[in-house]
Amino acid sequence: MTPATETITKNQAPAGSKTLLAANGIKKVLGEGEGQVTVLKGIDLQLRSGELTLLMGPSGSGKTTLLSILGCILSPTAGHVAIGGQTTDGMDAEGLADLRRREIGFVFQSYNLFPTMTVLENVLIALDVRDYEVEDPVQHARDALASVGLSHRVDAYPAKLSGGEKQRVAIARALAGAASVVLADEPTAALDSENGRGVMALLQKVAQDPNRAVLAVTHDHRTLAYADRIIRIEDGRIVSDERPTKAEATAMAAAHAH
Amino acid sequence: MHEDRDIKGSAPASGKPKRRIKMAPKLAYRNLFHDRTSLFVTLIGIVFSVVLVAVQCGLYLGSERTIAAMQDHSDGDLWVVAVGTKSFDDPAFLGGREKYAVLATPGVASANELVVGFANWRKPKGGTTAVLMIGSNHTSGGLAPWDIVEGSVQAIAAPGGVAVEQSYFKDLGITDIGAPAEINNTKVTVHAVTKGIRSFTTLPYVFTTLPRARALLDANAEQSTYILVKLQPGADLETVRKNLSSRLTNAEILTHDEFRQRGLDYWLFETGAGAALIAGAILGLIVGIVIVTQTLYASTKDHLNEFATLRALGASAGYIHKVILYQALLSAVIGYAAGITLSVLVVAASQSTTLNIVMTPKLAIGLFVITVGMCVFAALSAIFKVTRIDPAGVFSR
Repeated sequence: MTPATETITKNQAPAGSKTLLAANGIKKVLGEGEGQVTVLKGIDLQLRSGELTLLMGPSGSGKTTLLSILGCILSPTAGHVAIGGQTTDGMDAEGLADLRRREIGFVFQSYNLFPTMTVLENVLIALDVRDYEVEDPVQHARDALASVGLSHRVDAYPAKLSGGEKQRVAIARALAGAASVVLADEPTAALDSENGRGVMALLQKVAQDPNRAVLAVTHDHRTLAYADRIIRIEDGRIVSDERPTKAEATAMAAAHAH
Repeated sequence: MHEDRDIKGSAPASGKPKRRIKMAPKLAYRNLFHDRTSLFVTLIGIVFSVVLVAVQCGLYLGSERTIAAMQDHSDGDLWVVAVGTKSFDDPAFLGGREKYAVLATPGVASANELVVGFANWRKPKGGTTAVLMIGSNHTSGGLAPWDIVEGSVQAIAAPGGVAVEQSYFKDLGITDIGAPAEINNTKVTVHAVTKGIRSFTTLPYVFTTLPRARALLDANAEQSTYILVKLQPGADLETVRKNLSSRLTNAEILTHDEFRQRGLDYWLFETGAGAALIAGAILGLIVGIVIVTQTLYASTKDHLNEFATLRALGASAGYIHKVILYQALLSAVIGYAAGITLSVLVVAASQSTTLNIVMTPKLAIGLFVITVGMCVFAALSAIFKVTRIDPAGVFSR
């Protein structure tokens, strides 16, 4: 096992990429008094454009808490987060919501679609929430759905979709409004292998946008083959941060499959 | 598919304006109609509330109209009444000869005597009931019966002629015009029938001529209960009133509005009747608020995950509050539409009874404002609930 205080770093960021999200010295303490737990113990991390980063680690390692802080849903106890060059220091809940609205797209494990709205309307809500102005919002939403292969399901309600389709809608919703950072929480956890592969391939495609970074929290090793970068976290600390080659990533996935 | 679009922002390079889509009303609508049972309960609460408030307020307005009907149908600027008179339906004879003092007062154009008093009506087939006699000189601008549906004012001048209200036929033991009866042991005949002149005290009004009323009430030829004073054009009301007060020390001189208000204050507030109506309306409001609060709160709880998702997507607190308020407003509009329709039917049904429920455009508008206010107030608890929502919860659901 890798010592917690020693971080393995392999490879450098691809040339020409830019930092879209930077987190420095992130600490998070939850609870009070004797029940106090330090969930994150000093995380330094930069998400760069054009990369699909996987954040992996065992349950309780702090993955979701870190995702919440990077997504401006939680504030760190210590440390700084900057998105698109704008620091979150001193921001209140509304300020953080405003930054989320402008910069972040979320993909949730349970999809979190609006059950009373159609597929198209689910994407349109995101456009409305983000105050996104475009010549034809409906066409923009249709384009987002077309990009995830759901042109034929725009009028369907979530209850009529398969898990993979629901997650594709969630990805389209995250993309609508041109979020620069897409944060996905266990995007394949509720999916079978085939749908899981489809969703990861889609996230990989999304990450190829030179103006977007994608971070997926996962402990599904099938996703390794799609990663440009893999960050492992244990006990609130990053223990490895590597950018495997395509062959290495595939090999890692295969090794875990056996 | 039709979307609610909002045009906003400056024109881009293509020349077409950029638009922002508005989905909050649609989300509110879908949330509301998603759970039909909750919606039904909400609407029942609102409809119940609207109808109850409408009926109570309608009764209040109807009571006002009924109590003030005699003043409102009299053409006079000042009333001379016995000291301590509480309302038109609380008559007491003046001392006598006041008419001459009134006519001698500068600024007075005319003085019409009214003789009003309780009498005993003997039904044609036996039995008696109390009535309120109103005697007036119908040819000189006194207080004549109005809304006559059978007979005429002139016909009352015939020997023993009286006018009665159709809705009191049963109380009076008669069935038609021409029916004979006795008042204070003197024969009378119904020569005119009115429709809609109801009495707040439920005692039937019986109109007749001034001399006949005096005879039936055993009053002398100079006695009257009220004197209705009309001023000459340009005469100052207060000056005439002061003059009259100094001349008639045993009477009160009231303006039309004062006498009207005195009657309303007495019957609606001193007797507690109006307070009961207002209490009923408040009760209706409270019931409405409680039901709508409960159902909106339950609906919000049911959709908490969606509100948390909205928050996580970056929706401002205002956006989420807007969705809840839209839900409340939609409930209010639908509930009001159903409630006011039912209320109008209730009002229409009451027209053939002695209940006087009134629906006016002002009351209808007021009810709409009250309904919207009630629903918005009811939405507050749901808003407080959503305000405390933790968007981080979306990761654990």
